[in-house]
Amino acid sequence: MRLNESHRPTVPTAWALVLGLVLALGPGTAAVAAQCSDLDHSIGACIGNGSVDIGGSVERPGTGGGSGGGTGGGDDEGGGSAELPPGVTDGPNGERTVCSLMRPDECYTFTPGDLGTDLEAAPAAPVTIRDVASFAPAAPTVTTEPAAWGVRGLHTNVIAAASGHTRTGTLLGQVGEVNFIPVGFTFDYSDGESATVRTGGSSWAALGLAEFSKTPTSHRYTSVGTKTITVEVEYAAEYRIGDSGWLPVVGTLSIPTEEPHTVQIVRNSTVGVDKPCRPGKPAIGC
Amino acid sequence: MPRTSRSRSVSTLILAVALLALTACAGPEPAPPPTSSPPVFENEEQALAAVTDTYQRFQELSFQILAEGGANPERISTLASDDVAQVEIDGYRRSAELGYAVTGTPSIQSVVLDLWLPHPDALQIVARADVCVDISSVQVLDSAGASAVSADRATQSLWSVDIAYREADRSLFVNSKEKEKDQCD
Repeated sequence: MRLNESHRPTVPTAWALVLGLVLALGPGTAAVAAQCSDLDHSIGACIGNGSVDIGGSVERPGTGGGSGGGTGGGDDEGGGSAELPPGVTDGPNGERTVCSLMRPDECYTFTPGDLGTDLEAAPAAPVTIRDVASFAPAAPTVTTEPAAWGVRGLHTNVIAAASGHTRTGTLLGQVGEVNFIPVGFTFDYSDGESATVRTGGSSWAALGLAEFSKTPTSHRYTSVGTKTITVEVEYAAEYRIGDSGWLPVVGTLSIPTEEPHTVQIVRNSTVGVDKPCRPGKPAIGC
Repeated sequence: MPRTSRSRSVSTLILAVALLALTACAGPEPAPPPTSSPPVFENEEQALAAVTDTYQRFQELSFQILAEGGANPERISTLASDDVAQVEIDGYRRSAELGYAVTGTPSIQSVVLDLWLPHPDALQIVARADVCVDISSVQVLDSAGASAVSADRATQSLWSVDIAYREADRSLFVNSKEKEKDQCD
């Protein structure tokens, strides 16, 4: 468990092209895109995504070596709202509006200087993520597509799951409820690459994508072998005591997976080409 | 569809086994590059602006070279990876050989940031975006003055673009550009 009382992190990751090759995959196909010169684009000779599906094989024009992908999402660091937790906005006249993260239409506005007049509704001392860490939010789960294997050089779709949930416990000496809301996922692909994204990811089918397509959480492994994938979910939180209404908790809390997911990355049969495969441009192997 | 001969398959297999053996002896995979240097982008807005600007400048230069008959094609290398430059320079040469006259420059309709990284990854990539390009203003005439543009050329197309960072001159360039589909939605 990791506490983050000031900001949400951004973590770098990798993404790139793959070698020109043909990969015999057995069942299933993958639609891929093609590098294309501006000349070919101009005359309408570029092939696009899906135009190179060949039965059970995948053709990947292009050059270079690659690895997997992800995203470093932006956050609210910097600027005037750096100190405000998610769901909190300041108005022009000093008033502060707090909206429930789980119920965005549930908001109320108050003046920060008046907080002390109603301690039950809004304690003057802010509740931080340390105060609610003992409420033990749920750990995320992680799966992949394909479920237990992947192909070196192709995208393995890594999917983390964590949902908003409420825990009850003692807070500020009273019985309180805490909502934990997932706001980010950090994937450790176990090959030296990691990625932080705002979503846990979705299946190819749910995204309407062909198998082995890139997704916001997919990863291209560049080496074969067993990979042990772990995920941390970053939770923002809000709390309420009695009828106080939901109030923001300062900071976020990162919870790792309890059970890592193991995937076997395999090599498929390949063939080299002497240059990128392009329409109207014969090349050996194309 | 690429094909291979039996002897080539055997050679490929031997090469693969050798590579696997080397990999097995290589120990842990290399760690990502240190990230002590200042971030390339401070936030998502910076990344989006930089991606848009870099790809815009790439397109303007590329179509300028096409319009100039492919003169000094290596200019594109300032804004492109070696792979992208190779593909483009090949296109410039073919255009010149065919006597094409290219006019106009595509316009960027939208840029949707797929990912951005505060520091370059091991391949120096710092951002990936889906770029919608409108090419309706670009015309290509052959040496006889007839249009060389295919009748079914899509007006708009969506491209997946990788932007990389060159530490030497602290510049951004197009690492790859792949056409996704013949429409933007």
